[in-house]
Amino acid sequence: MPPKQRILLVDDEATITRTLKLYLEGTGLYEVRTENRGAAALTAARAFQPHLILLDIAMADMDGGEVAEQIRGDDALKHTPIVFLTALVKKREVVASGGAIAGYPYIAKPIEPDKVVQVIQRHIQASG
Amino acid sequence: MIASRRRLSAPHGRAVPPRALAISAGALTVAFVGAWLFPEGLVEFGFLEWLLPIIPAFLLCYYRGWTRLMVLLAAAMALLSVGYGVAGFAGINLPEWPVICFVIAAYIAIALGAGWFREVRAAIDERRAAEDELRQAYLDLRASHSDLQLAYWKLIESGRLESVGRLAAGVAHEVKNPLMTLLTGVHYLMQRVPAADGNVRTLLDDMHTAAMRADAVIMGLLDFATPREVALMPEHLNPVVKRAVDLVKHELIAARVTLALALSDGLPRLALDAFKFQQVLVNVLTNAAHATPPGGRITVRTYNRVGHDVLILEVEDSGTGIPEEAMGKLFDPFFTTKPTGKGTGLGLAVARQIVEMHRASITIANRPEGGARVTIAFDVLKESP
Repeated sequence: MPPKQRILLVDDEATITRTLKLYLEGTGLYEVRTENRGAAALTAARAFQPHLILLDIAMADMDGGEVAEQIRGDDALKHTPIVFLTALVKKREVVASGGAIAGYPYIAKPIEPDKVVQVIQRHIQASG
Repeated sequence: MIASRRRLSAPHGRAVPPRALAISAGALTVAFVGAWLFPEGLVEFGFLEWLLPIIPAFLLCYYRGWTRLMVLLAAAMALLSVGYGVAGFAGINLPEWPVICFVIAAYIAIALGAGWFREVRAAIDERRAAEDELRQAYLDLRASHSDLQLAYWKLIESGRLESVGRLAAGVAHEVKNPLMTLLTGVHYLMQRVPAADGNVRTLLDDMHTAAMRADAVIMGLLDFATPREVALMPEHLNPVVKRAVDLVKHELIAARVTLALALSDGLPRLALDAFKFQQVLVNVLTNAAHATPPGGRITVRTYNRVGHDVLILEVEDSGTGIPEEAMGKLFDPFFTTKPTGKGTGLGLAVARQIVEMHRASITIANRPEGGARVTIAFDVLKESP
């Protein structure tokens, strides 16, 4: 059995992190750690060393963009793929922009979780 | 602009004093009695031919209120009549020039009077022109009022929609997150409920459908209410049509509806926001797919209308057409003829909004041979780069 991919899921909605963690771990492919505070995401990432980070943008304490900048500024994490999972964009906009906006891959909420799995697999494979 | 009114002298604007009138009447009486008593006088000079034209001159003086000239004419008539009559009776031969001078003076008075009539006519014409201008100004004012009222309502609507837009964006964000939780949870449970447990499976399918429907309503509301701006670029219409068709082809296959493209070559480019216009076509094609029974056909056609600089895009379906009572409401937000859960009622409202942002028009009509036809008309002259 291949080792599980580590996914860090950062979203200030605890119901989302809880259900998505259950779903992703239920696939047997992932080990998921969740974080509901943007400000704590960097520390969690340093400790967890994820293969991919799913990151919300509009969070109560810290903007997802700032979190991404912090992660990019960390030598150990700068190559970790980040996928934004946000309600701020429409699915159509994501499709029209080829899945990436300003260089970052995006997933528009709400989305069926099997599609989240597809995006995670694609980006983990692309990162190497 | 309304012409300034010209002040007219009314015929009795300056009334002839009774005394002057009496003098004149007396003098005229003397003139005619003199001519009657001593016909040898003025008749010799052609009384009727020379002096009768004085009568209108006299009347004109009266009407214009030229008292002195009137009295002078009457007195001169009396003097000439009596003088020439008595002289003729006495056998004295008087010169013709006083009569000639008098008649010339009378004709000058007539000419002045005629000038006044011209003046009156000009004033009447001027007044009529002013009335016409006033009428036109009234019509313009009514048109302006209507335009203003329309602009006012549009402003209110735009302000209302701006508020709705802000509200929709906020609500959308707040609703999308719970929907995400719901969808993920439903999918998680679907994997764990045995297929044999039909009731729970049905329940979960319904919950999934409900979540997707709520998502579609939120999307439609956002499309309808978010800021209406288009990024117009010179684009060919046909590639945009093909991209939109690609986006709905799975839906068409699922509905077992065939799609035919009849796209004319060499069409001029249009000022298009390809992304937004694609959305219009997706909405229209989705409606057509929903309205067409399995085995039916949708035709998308583009062409230049002959003799007009108009580019036409038509989407025809072979469905049942649109009920007459629904015709006037097709573009109303939240109006739908689809079964509950099938449509948000925002597709055509959004489509019209985007089409109008392209300064194009969209109309829907039933086809005589059955089904409906959506026609989008672009003005090539205005839109071409």
